Amino acid sequence: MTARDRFGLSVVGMLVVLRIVAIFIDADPAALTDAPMAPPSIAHPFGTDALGRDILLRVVESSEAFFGPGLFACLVALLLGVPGGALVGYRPGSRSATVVRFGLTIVAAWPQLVLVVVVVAIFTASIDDPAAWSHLRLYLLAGVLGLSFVPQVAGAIGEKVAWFRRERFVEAAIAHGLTHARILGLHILWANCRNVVLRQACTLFGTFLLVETSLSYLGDYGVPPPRPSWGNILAGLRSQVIHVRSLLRPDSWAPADVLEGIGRAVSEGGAVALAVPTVLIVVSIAGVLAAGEYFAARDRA
Amino acid sequence: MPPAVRVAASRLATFAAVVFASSVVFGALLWFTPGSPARSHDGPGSFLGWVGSFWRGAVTADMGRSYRGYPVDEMVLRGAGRTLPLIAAAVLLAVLLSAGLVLLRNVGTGRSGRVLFAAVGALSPTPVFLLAYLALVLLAVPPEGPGLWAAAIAVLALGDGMLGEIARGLDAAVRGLLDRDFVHSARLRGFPVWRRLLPHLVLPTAQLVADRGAYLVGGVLVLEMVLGVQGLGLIGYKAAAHADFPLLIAITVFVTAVVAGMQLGVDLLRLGVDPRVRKDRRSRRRETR
Repeated sequence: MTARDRFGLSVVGMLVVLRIVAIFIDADPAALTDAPMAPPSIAHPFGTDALGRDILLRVVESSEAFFGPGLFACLVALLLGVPGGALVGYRPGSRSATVVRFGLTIVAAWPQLVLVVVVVAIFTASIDDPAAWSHLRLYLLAGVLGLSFVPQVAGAIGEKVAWFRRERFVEAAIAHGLTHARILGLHILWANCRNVVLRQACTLFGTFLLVETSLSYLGDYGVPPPRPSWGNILAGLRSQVIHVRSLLRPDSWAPADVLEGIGRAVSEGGAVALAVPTVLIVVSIAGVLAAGEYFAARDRA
Repeated sequence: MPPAVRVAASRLATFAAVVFASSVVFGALLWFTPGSPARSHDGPGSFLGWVGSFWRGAVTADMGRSYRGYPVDEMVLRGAGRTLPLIAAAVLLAVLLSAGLVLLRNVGTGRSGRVLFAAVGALSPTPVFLLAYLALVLLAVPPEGPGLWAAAIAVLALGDGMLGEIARGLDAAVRGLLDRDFVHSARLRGFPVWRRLLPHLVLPTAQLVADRGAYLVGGVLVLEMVLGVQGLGLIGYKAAAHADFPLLIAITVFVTAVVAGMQLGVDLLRLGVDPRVRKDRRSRRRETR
């Protein structure tokens, strides 16, 4: 196991722990607790945001915004992509495989983010009471993203299945009178394609995180406020960044001045509140993708 | 008909079919949702009529006006004039940087090249919105002019895993070639190795870029939103927010055509470069039998 594999798997572990902790926390992440932009303290380890909400609580509760929907996106992509890829790989000449392949070519040309915005916009416009339905928006978004990933999953599975279809053990299984469903399902997909599936699931989960935080940051299509997401926490602190920058620009480069600037950025500027979601976004996406690379390496082995 | 022409024609037909099917799917999505605004506005009465008028408009470059009164085709062309050069420049920058990284990693024995390569790979999934946001406030990107374009191109080339994916793919391609006989013989005879490698890297690079096409278009949307570039992404996002569907669908179909067009370009390039593709499927099957 390389350092990257350990990093990837521990990030996945961290995300799971974060989600479990969020389930057991009973506090309301939208509750106004204290003075706005309070510095880090025992009560608020990362400080509070511009409305006085606790950043730590909001960061942890944000896991609700991507964990369930991210898994839902994987479910959609795998439920459609694995059978599609198996068909294309196992019966490449059949008419249904040709139809499936053309369908996959169409979906592959749709840019994920654009597709998500278009579908969510159309549905929001066609529903009478969008507010009542806003908590389902994330699942719609996830479903659309999962759909846009079907060609990638099907391509990876199809390539693998097409390779194994020519192997001797498949020939032997046919000679033994095993049904094609059993050969394909058990001997090819389950025994030899598990790691490919896991790798694709990791890639999709990482992409979902990227899309969810991006859209939540932009505001109209992501997590509806007041529910927290790493993206909308950052958006809420937008004006703070300029403040932090001015504090971090010291009068002189003497160590004492630089240290004072950093201290003031933390105590007055909310530098910690800004840094935590930023680092979490970068580390989580990189980690989930690294976990995907781990499964890809296991597949090659 | 010579096989090369037949293959090229079939690729072109697939491209056209993909773009047309996309317009039908998006149009249907809009047309058949309950309470759809498309049907309530006065226009062609049936779905097929709508598809017909959409493509008639697209071919004659007169797509009428959007719900907010903008001329659709003009808006699409104006946005494309900003977005497409941005994407092209970002692709160029990412490929050049990747080539540099791959060189650093594979030439010489120093550790620094490998460490740099790994660091870029680990950091490159950083979302475009974060990079654009940091560039905006930390580097004080101006709202227009060359500074804005430089920042936009750099962010798009670095963010959303663009640089990491291209560098990794290019590195794998180079490493696959380095142990081939023709490279060894070139090295033994004292020929410059990179001259021998270059022709073999054109296709893999093009395919890597085309694979990123869909991500690039998504990244451009976010980038234009954050930096305020009046390109296709910003126009489309605003159209979506105002439920201005004629404009939104036109932009979506156009963007789909761009992504599918990148793959078409790679296919045609492969046709020109790789003689195996020029044989049609029937004669290839005969050989393998």
